[in-house]
Amino acid sequence: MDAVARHARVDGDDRLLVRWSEPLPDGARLVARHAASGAERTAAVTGDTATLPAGDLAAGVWNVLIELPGGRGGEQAVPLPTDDPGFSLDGLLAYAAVPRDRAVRASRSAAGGAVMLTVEDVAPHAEVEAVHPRDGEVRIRGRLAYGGDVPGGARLVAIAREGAGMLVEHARTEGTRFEAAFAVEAFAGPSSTLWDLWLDAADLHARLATRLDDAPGKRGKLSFPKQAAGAGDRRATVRPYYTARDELSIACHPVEPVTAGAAR
Amino acid sequence: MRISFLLLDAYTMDGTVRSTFTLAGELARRHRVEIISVLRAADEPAFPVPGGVRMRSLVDQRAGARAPWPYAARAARLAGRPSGLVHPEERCYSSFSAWTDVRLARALRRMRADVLVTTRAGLNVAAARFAPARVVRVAQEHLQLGMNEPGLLAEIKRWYPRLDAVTTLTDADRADYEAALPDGGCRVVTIGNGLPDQVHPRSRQENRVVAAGGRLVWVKGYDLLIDAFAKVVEKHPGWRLRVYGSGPRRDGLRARATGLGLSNDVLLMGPANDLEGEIAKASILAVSSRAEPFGMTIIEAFACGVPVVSFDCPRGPREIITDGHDGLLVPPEDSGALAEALIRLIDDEELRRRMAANALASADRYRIGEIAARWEAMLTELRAAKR
Repeated sequence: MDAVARHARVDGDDRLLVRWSEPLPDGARLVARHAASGAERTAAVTGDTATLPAGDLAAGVWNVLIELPGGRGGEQAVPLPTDDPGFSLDGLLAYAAVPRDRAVRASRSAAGGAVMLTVEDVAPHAEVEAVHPRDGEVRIRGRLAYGGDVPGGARLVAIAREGAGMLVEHARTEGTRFEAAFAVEAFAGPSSTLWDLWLDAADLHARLATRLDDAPGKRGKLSFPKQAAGAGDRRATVRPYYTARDELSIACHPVEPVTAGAAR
Repeated sequence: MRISFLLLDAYTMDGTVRSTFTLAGELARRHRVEIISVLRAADEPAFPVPGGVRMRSLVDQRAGARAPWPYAARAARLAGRPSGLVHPEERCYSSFSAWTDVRLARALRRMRADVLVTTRAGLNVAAARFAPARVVRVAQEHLQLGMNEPGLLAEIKRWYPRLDAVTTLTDADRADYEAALPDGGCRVVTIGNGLPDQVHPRSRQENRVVAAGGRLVWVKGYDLLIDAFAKVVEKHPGWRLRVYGSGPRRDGLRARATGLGLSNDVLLMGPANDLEGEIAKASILAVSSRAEPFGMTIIEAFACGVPVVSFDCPRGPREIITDGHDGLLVPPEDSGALAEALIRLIDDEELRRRMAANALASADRYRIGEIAARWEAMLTELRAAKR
């Protein structure tokens, strides 16, 4: 195999760093090619490393290729193979710990195992790391992504998708981390309601979501237990769930009252 | 050598199809290789056809496909009738018909290759009955002998001695087939499946993730794995389990994880386009199978530098994993022991890294170049014995 990259990651300054186990021949070049437009950016390989600035690349997928002088097919660029799996959860969390409006990630393609870059426009969101629905509350722990440290006075806010309902709880914060809990009683009501969750502080309004764990489509991958809340005609079940966009919401459904007929 | 592989259906994704494509591709570098699929219901095979390998099929089931003139009417008539050639206890009996009988017997009688490799019991018996004796006939067995029903077992005992060799995936299976088949009959040889010759992603041991992969069915024991993982997260709350694969037990397994309070810790990931790529993101592979005929996922994990914690179930894992060297074997169906072994590897990063390095070396034994060389040595001997 020629020129297998042993390391292909994006650093905190949005530079793609590529390293090989031995130096490549002089004149080798790294080429990033935009899948949508065909636009290219190149970087020279120096010895066994190459650095390609990627922070200002257009959004979308960029295939990363390697061009070896006098290699197969002359100087034609070929997809750059890598054995770097291209995923570090800690790395992604650290990358997201500072304010950004653009996120660049290097990964290994499922088909062919070549290096690729994904460039996305991002806005701050509250990355959920754990949800604990138990003991009459829904406790949520996470950290602010792409927004820097959480400003003081942060609140976890639940907003009813229909109607004017809103619930607010104080959030404990430290740096980018936050933790807060809602009592399930607060959600119980006479009708079915879906509540969307937000982390609010000063001019921050960040949707709760889990997007940095490399496991999109969480709806089918996990489920949360439901808890009973309310009394009388306000009896309901409360259950957190992920939306189709991996955002965290809470579903509240009234429990059908036991009718006289059914009781008999 | 001219080598023909006979598959029931090369157009549906399946472990046997994949390993056959890998082997055929490697042998095609030095031999004339074709893959014959009894059935064809799609335009493209389940996996890319390796360079140099010729594909053909016997019965085209695609919409609008017609049997070659002048057989159309006969084909239509016979396709609706059950097979008389294949034993009804063959697991894929319903895929065969009176028409596949006609096409299969004809193709086998006219076999011009030097070597014919058949890949499941029904096809193995057919090869023993119809392929000319000048052809070296090798039957691959991917199933344990004991999993066959008595009627099919009797057919195996009756017809396999006419074959030149039977290959099994494990030594334990070889012993079973040797015991079942009379002395002086065909040879029984263990040859495992091979890893395609490609760049395998390599785990950096950087994520607190345990991976598992396979169909979500009872025999894979994911219920036991989820129980074990409940104990793992008590000790190591940051670790997550990711189970790749689809199957009928998905909803039940998700409910089990939810019921145990593992919503944050266990993800049923669904099918993976690139299982090796996902395994390489993890630090440990868990194999919780109640039985595992071979264990291709174990070899894939090794190739990715991922140590494996497995039940010591029949049959594959103990022949692939060297306990304490490239993985850990624990008593079968003992979820407590599985949890302890996972915790041991999680606790001891140095041990994990050492096992990961050993796993990479272990994977070399299963490189397709090695596996193909063993096939070639066996086939050369078998051909010499014919002359």
